[in-house]
Amino acid sequence: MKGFGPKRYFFVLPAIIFTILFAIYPLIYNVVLSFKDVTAITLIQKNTRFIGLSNYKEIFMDPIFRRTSFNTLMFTVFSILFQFIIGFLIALLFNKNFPLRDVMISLVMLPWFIPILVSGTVFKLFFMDMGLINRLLLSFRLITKIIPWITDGNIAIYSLIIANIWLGIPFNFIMLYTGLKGISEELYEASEIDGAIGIKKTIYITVPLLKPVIISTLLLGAIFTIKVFDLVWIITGGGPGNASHLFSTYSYQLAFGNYNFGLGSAVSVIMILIIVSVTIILNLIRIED
Amino acid sequence: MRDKNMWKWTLIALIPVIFIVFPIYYILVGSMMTTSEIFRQPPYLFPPSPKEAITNYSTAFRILSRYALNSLIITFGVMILVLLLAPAAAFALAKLRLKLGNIFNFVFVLVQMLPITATIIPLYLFFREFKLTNIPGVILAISSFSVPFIVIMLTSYMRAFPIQLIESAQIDGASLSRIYWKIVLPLSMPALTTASLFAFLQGWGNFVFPLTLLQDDSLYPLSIRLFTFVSEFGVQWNYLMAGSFVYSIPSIIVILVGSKFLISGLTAGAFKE
Repeated sequence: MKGFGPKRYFFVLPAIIFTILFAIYPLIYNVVLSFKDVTAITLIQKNTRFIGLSNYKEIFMDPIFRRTSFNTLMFTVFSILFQFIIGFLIALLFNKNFPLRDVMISLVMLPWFIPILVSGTVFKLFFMDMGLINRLLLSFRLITKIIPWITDGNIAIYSLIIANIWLGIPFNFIMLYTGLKGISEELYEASEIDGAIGIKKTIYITVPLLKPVIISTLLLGAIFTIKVFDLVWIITGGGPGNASHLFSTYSYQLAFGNYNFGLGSAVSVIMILIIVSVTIILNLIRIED
Repeated sequence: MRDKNMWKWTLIALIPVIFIVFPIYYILVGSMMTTSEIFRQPPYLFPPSPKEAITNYSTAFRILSRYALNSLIITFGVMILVLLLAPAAAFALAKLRLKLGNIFNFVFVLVQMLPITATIIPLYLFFREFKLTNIPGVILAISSFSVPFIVIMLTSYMRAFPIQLIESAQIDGASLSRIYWKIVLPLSMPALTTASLFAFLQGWGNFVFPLTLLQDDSLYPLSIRLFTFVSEFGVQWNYLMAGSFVYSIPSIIVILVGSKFLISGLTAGAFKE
């Protein structure tokens, strides 16, 4: 495709200018903000000055930030672990050719694209002290006292993980399901002749062949999970007592709850650095293969 | 015989599907009960008097219709912006061998990785200054994440576009924009359908940008109006459930009808790198 000259760039420029203007420039300005004293008060006084690393120092001294880091780690590791296992099992199951399969695949996809406000709200209704889960458990006499799913600071983060696992199953499922479809039937037939069946077949044939897909799924899953904001904001708002914040919600709380935009930016810069490092590390693993 | 055997797998597959669909089913059930029925012990898993639905839905409609209009405007704004910008960029990246193509690609991939909090604080501060804390501002903000996402997805589709078609048109003397409008776009309908469905879901479902950028209640889309339900009348869960279900219907339809498109789009984008 030669001969069109610089005109070719007209096709990509609108999208690239738009993206730079509304995503890249804000991203850079976010870093600048993290070194400045920007609060509701300094904004009104037009006195937003550079304060070096003060925001970062404040953040690293902040006990809520330490709690938030722990939460984000737990949230990411457990969400990915269970989403992946459940998604993989469903993908293996759906790899068989049974009636109504396509309809059921669409149903499995629902959590991903239902408006997040709706899924957040229904999980809130499940987890409330007098919510559905406690009342079901009481009815079956599995508990005698209600479990404070989202009203106890030490439990809330785990309830959020449960909700997020539900939310992440479709992504893991569809990635692995598509990957499985790419493995040729002949390979399975050959392995069956060699006497591989059931679980053995899965471990020795499916998993190695699926390795690139598995790594992509985990990599993208990690990026998605670290980014989660809405679900937590809707169900607990980071509470009770700031006990269930993730980096994303704590950054948002600092900026739009406490009106300390500089501090909020500092938390989100730390978060971006973590996402970038995770991506680089996982990409290195991928390249090594 | 073989068929009978296969229905067994349908039944087994039903177990995870029921767990996955249950929360959505429960919204429907909740929307057909009074609030005291919703909180009854032991809980109802089927509505005892489905006629409650009439009161709940008519109340929800009365409260929400004007906010549904805001949601629609935001959604169509995002779709138009995305469809204007993304397919052309994807075409150029996939087929026009741009020298700077790798850099552009990197920009789009980078934005796809970013958390919303990476840009929302500066966007809020800029938009406040430029009087964009309104619906156009929300459209721009949502699109700032949707455009890169759809560009990446469409680029992997466009790579498969037969180059011979473009080259022979070029030999016939067609201009680049003519090739794009008359050949590339018409033959990319499945990809454009996928892109539109995603843009729809992202515009319709977005929560954080309207939450942050809109101060005037009358501009709220459904997501934010329903969010304020919880704090306002925390007791009226029945209306909240009815409203939530109505709000979900367009997304549910898009997912059930368009799942083939959505799945192909997702996997096309994800495996590309």
